[in-house]
Amino acid sequence: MSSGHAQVAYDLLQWSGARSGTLEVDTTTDLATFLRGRGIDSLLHLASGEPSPRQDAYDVVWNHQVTSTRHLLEELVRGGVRAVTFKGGELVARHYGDHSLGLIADLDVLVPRNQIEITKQVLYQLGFRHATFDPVDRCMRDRDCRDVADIELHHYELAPFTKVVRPDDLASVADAAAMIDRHPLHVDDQGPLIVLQVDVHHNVAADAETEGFFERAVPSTHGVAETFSHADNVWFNLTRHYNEVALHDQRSLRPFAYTLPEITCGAVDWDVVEKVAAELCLGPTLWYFLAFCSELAPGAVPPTTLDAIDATTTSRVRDWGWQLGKLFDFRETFPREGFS
Amino acid sequence: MATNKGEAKAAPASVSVSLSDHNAVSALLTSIRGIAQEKADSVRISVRGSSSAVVELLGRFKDPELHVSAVLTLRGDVPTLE
Repeated sequence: MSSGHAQVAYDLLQWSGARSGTLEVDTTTDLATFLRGRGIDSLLHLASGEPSPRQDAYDVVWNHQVTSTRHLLEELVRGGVRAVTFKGGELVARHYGDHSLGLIADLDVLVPRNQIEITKQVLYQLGFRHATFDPVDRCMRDRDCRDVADIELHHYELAPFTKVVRPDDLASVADAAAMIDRHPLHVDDQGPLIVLQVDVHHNVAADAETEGFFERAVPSTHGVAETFSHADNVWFNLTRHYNEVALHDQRSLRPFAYTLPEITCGAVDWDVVEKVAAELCLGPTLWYFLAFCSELAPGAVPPTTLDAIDATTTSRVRDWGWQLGKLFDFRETFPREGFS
Repeated sequence: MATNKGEAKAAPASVSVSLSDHNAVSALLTSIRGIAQEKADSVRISVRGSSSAVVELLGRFKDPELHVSAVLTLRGDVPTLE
């Protein structure tokens, strides 16, 4: 069972590894819908060079998100906070510049736990607060204080901080905004608006330690503050995504589109990847998606690293197979070779 | 209370329903889908449960961009707690 879109999505992800040349794609409505559902419709426009009102809207939103991110990071650093960015808010800027990959929901930033209060103070001073956009009444609503407390009691991140902006150039993509109308791009009776969102983390997983991320952090692409090392971006993004796909029905292909360029840039310290994989016994939760990236970018991942990751655990408690049928919308065939 | 098509539109009203029987949730959602298509102006749903349950429910609405942050564990040799 295949929708026929899997090959195009695969080709686009391969293109994302180098981001050069033009890819000719026979675009259909079904294909565009599929790619949009997987968070990589931007790759179609960027790889083919075809103009797209949606992409124009994504880019306008993205450039305001980047401006806001840089201002926030400057203020955090000025306040003495050690801010470390990660995921799309950093890597899309690093590898795609002024272009966005769809709508980026938020900026993820890791801060030391003992600097949470000053971080919150900076965010409040910049006009951020715990609020969400109500799609029914089309207005921002503050989160109830019990909801905020409940989130922060059980999570390693704070309740999201948000702020609405209405930049003048948003009017140029008003039609696309009305068509899209989902976080962080909405429309109300005054026209289109952007909901800027910041997710502040004091950890990145319930069973991980943050010291290594801070020790290995490097300067951020945003020109201020820091970000994960290339190695940490690779193992963390792929392991996290594998768990989310398997456990939470996550279907996005976008994490590959901003992680593969990290792998192909040639700056990954694979010793770090192997060391962390051994410490956390990552095994299959990293091996499958890293091996998939190796298929997309032949030669970019050392075979010895894949072997080392494979050897980090004999446990198969989190071995959920390739998970690619779910992501690319086909049914994986019966593994006959396993019985030969 | 349902009204038939063609009847004069009543003043807006809202109702809150709490279900402790998980088996009833699916049936309720099916009913809501029908009502929302034909009669209701809007439907607001509040769900209380584990992160994974909420994420699964939201996933059924086919909006992969919907931002829900689940608490994750990463160790590969430990059963998942989510």
